[in-house]
Order: sequence, then C-alpha cells, then structure tokens
Amino acid sequence: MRPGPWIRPLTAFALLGVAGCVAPPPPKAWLEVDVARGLAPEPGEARPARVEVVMDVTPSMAAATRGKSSNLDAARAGAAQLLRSIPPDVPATLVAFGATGAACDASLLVLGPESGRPAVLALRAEELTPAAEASLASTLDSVATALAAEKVAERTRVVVFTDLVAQCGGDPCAAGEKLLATGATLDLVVLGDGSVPACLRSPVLPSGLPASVSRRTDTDPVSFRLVAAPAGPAREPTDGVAGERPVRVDAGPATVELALTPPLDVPVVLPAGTLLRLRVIDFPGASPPVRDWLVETAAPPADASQAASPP
Amino acid sequence: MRLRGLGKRFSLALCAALFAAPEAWADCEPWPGEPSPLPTSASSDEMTAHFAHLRADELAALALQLEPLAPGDAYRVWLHVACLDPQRDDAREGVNRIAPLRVHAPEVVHQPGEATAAAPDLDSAFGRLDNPISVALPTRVANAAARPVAGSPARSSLAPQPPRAAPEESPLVADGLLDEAEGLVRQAHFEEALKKAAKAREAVPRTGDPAALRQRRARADVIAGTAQVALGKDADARATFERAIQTDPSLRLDRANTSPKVVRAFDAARAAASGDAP
Repeated sequence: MRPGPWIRPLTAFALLGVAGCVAPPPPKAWLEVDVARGLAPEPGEARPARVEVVMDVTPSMAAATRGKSSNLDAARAGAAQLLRSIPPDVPATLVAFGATGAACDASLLVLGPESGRPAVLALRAEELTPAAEASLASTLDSVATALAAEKVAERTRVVVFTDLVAQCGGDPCAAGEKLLATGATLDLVVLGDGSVPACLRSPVLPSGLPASVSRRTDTDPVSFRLVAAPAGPAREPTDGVAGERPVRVDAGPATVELALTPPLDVPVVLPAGTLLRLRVIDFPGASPPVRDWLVETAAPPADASQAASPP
Repeated sequence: MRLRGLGKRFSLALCAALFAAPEAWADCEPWPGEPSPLPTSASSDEMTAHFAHLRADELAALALQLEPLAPGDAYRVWLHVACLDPQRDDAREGVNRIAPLRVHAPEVVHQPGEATAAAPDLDSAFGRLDNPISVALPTRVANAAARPVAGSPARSSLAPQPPRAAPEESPLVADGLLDEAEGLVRQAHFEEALKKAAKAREAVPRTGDPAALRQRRARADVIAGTAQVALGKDADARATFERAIQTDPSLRLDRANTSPKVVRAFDAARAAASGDAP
C-alpha cells in the first residue's frame, strides 16, 4: 500500500520533533556573588555620654589615715570635684555602698541619673556618712547589671572612689570584668594604702562587636537576580543570595541585579563552562559613599553538588 | 603614698602590650557582616586589601566620634581597626588613649578650700582623676566638720558660702600648699603656682621652730621665683630669690634638677644679696 499523501508532512514533523529532543542543551555557566559591606549610614543623633560615680562609704573608709583626714573625706572631695566638672547635658548618677542597710546586705543608695544638676549630686556626695560594711564586688556587679538592663552601658563611664578594703567578700575581679564586658569604662580611684588586685592591674580587656557598631551593621544577606541583558537573548530570571554556593545558569550575556540600597546592576557575560565570580564592596555610610566591584572567572566547581540549582 | 605611681606603671604596662602585634592584644576575628577570615590591608588580594582599608577608615572615623560618647565602644573599635590595618598609628594611639580600665592613686593634700574654676568638660574632668584631692583639715575648719572643701562656681550658686578667711597659719597647711605649688610648676601652670606659693608663704606660722619656718618661707620664694623666671618676669624673680636667700642664707638649689635659666637667676640674686652684683 502506498503511503497516503499526508504521510510526508507527518514524517517531517516527527523528524523535527526528534531533532528538538536530542539538540544539545544551551551551554551552562556558574555564578557566584560576594558582597562585603561597611557600616550603614548613621541612624540618628548620637546619644550623650553618662557618668556613674560610685562611692565607698563603708566604716573602714572613715578611719583617719596619716593622722589627718580619712579616705572617706578624700572620696567625698574627689567625687564632689568630679561631679562639679561634669557638663550639664551629661546625665550623672551617684551610687553609694555602705551608706545604708545592714552590714553586707548589698543595699545601694542610688541618686540620679540627674541631668543639669551635678552640683546637687556633689553636695549629696559631701554629706554621705557610713552606715555599714558593704561589698565593692557586689556593688560593681549591680551597677553592671543595671547599666546592661538600661542599655546605656556602652556610653557610661563608671568612677569608683574606694580604699579597696574588702569587708564583705565577693570577687572584685569578676565584677570588674563583668562591668567592662557591658561596654562601660571603669576608673578606679584608690584612696589610702589598699592594694590593687593583680586582675585589675592587668585586666582581661573586652573585645568583640560593640553595640555602637552592631546598630549600624546590616547582617541580612544580600539577594540578587540574574536577568537578561538589555540587548541580549531572553533568559529566565534566576534568584540567588550573595555569599552562598555558586548558581548554575545559562551562559551568555546577562545582568546581575543586587538588592542593595540603592540597587546595583552589573552587566556580565557568563562564559560557558566557567565560574564567574562577582565581588562587590559597598560602604553606604562612608562620606562620600563608596561602591566598587570586580568580575573574576575561575574553573567551575569540581563537584556539581557544590553548585546550587536555581529554584 | 604607697600606691602613688601605680597608675603610671599600669599605663606603661599597657603601652608595652599595645606595641606588640595586634593579634597579641586584640581578638582579630571578623565581626558580623565582615568577610572571614578578617581582611587585612596587607592582603595580596587587591579587593580584600581595598576592603580592609575602607573598613579601617570608616571605623577609625567612628571611633573618634565615639570616644567622648561611648569610650568603651571606641576602645573596641580601635582594636578592630588595628586588626584591619596594623600600620595605622592612630589605632594604637586610640587604644592607649581610652583604655577601658584605669587605676588612679591621687595624692591627698590638706589645705583650705580652693575652688577649681575649670569649665565643665568631661574629658578634662576624667583627666584630673590623678590630680591631688584637696581635703579640708577636719579639726581646723569651722562649720565644716570633716567636710571636703573642693568647690566650684556651681556650688556657690546653690549654697551661699561664708566669706573666705585668710589662709590659716599652720605648718601642715603651708606644706600642703607648697606641694601643690611645686606640682603646678611641674605642670607648667606658672600663674597659678605663683599665687599658690604666695598663699603658702602666708600660711607659714609666725611662731614655732625658727629654722623650719625660715625654710618653708624660702621654699615658697624659690617656687615663686621659678614661676616668675618661666613667665619672663626676670626682675621679679631676682627680687624673690633675694628674699629667699635673706630668709634662709643656707639655701641651695638642686642644680642637677633645676633649669639653667633658674640657676642663673638664683646665682644673680645671691650675688646681689652678698653685694657682688654688678
């Protein structure tokens, strides 16, 4: 039987379909994006510094030394002098231990914070009288806890007037380190002949991310999208995240759109069988803002599993 | 005081530590958001070194802003700047300038109240924590029973103060004033030293061990004369030294530790006092 007249077009169509199925796929490339960012712009007005004056008002401080005045007299004078030197816009707090409560019960007398009235605190400092022995260590611990809870530690200067005579136990080293770890600074004014613990002479000084930097650090990952170049062939958009594994994409011209502020579009040509690495530096908080990028090529990932597939 | 100078020793130890490699005194781990490992300006990779430079620049600017407001934070930022760019001198200086823990052992001096008239300034206030603390003698100051006398304009505006009496005559008071006057000379506060020395001379009692009293008066004049030399008041200095020599003819200067200019003025005064002056 001779084939019908319709068989030729059908065969041609089938051949075309087979050809389409076995045609080589478009060449592939890999894309990796890294973004290193600086500080975000200043979020607002800087908050003022604070001062916390801590006075040891324990009975041991009141014992006269050198046959003249006592360490308490010196503490009163020194604290008052400091408080009167504080600018009016700086909030100040006066903390006294040993001025109230029973012996070693860790009660603190806290006056302030006061803004614009440091002279009032100075007068109060001059009038403090001893009531009972108390612990410097627990006082520093309490101050550290309070400053951390109020989230003001990193801008607080703590000054302690003390003879360092330990009466009620506690670990001044641990308390000092706790206070420093909050971000506060500590000035220890030692009166009399008290010996400074070695740990306070060679303290473990804090390092690590300070709160002021943390507030201006954007740790959210930067996302990007690979789209067709304006004059290039069509391509399906591919999404990715900077800093993650390379993404396997079609080779050819394209544009990488980075979700920065303001957005950044980088034209690229993805060579077939190659890893293209886009490295971006972004410092939006610099004056003026700085943005720079570099396109590098490298061998593709040896293991296909190292490359992420586009969703 | 046994602990005097401890603060200085502590500072020296800190300085020594700071001049070691950054890794020795700073935790050079990357902060959140920074590449890992932490880039440094010495990196052979251009982009990495570029980031380290830019990051160090912006953090150094931030540290300077933070110093007066959040010194604890500023200290940590300076440490990190030193990690990013170990060649930066400002990072080392910043770390040294704002150590989070400082130990002070101020001298305590006993004298009549003397107001510190400095304008309120936080950095200056903390810079003075090593200065001597002035405390009133508890048994000699009327109506103040063991109360300190450090004063300021702010205090006088809050509580009316009685008219200030003339400096008390007391060997202890005089010695305290003399010590303070010498300290002011060392700090190059010559005008204040001059006033303080005059008060010290007035505070020397009129009765007591004559030799000791003469020595105190002569010491006050030597301090005043030294300040006058520094202020360029040569004629006044010569007259003051002459009076010192007349008060205590055995007076000798410590030539090894005295400025040649002061020694020359003193020698001229001695020559004049002995009638050898030209």
